Amino acid sequence: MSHRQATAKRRSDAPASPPPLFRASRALDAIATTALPRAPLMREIDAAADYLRYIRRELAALGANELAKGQIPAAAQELDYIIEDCAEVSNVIMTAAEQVMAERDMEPEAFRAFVAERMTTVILQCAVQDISAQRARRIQAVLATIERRLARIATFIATRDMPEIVDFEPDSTGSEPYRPMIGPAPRGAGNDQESIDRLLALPHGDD
Amino acid sequence: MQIDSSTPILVVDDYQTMIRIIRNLLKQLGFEDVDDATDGVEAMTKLRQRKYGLIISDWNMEPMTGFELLKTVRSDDALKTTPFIMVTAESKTDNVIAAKKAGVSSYIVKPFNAQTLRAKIESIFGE
Repeated sequence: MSHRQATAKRRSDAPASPPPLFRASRALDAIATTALPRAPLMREIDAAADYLRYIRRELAALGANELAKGQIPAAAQELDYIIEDCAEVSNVIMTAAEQVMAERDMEPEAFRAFVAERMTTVILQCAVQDISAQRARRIQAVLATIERRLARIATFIATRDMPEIVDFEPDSTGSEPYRPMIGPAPRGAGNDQESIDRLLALPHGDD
Repeated sequence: MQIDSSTPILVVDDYQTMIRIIRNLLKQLGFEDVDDATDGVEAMTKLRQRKYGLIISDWNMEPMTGFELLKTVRSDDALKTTPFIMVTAESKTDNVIAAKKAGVSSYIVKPFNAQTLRAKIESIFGE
């Protein structure tokens, strides 16, 4: 059996045994306090070292530095661009509409040309949908990468969530409680206007 | 309760674009006296300075949400009968029921059009 096979076998056996670090700690304690044979102790320490190397490799596969310094800030930037683009386009469209609605003195032919020009502006602004969709797809790709890598590490090292040490709070300041009710409902999860009207029309207590 | 083109209306939304949209829709419907605020706190300041015939408010705003504004208005003796329309993307049943229990006059889900806004205003004022 090669060293790699031996290591793999030890890993496959790991769930049935005490955690390697625990065993290593016990082994070091034993070295200090008893005169046990050295070979079994060295095997335990070797296994613990293998396990640490294995975890380290899996953590490296997460690519945390690359995610934190590259992909996640880039995705956040894309979101900022979407928000800015939407605001800018909305204002351009609104301005064009207000200009058309406010115009009262033009001759019909001039007015027709004026409206056509403003409508062209409006139509061009609709390109934001295409651009925003492309930005959103980049964000989706980053999220998919993070999901894939986290799933891999969670599976390989059989981790479990520890709510007492995990920051589930999306607000980095910690000043505001997380409010999952806020914001538009996911598609298909909310009510349309008719459903809302029916809810409002129900007598109190029937809702 | 009556409303006409000179009735002052307060539009509360943290997005200037949305305020402009509602202003334009109200203008199409013939309402000329439209004021605005960007959150519930500013709205309350304006509501205490002037008598408005209708409040049209978004839900999600900081620091005071439209829902908190609704509850504040309904608990204020001088304002509690002012019609209040919630205009929001919050379309979940729990939100609608919470707004109903707090005394909302009508509830419009975004996106909406001038016909929906007109229908809700007419329904409140019985025209």
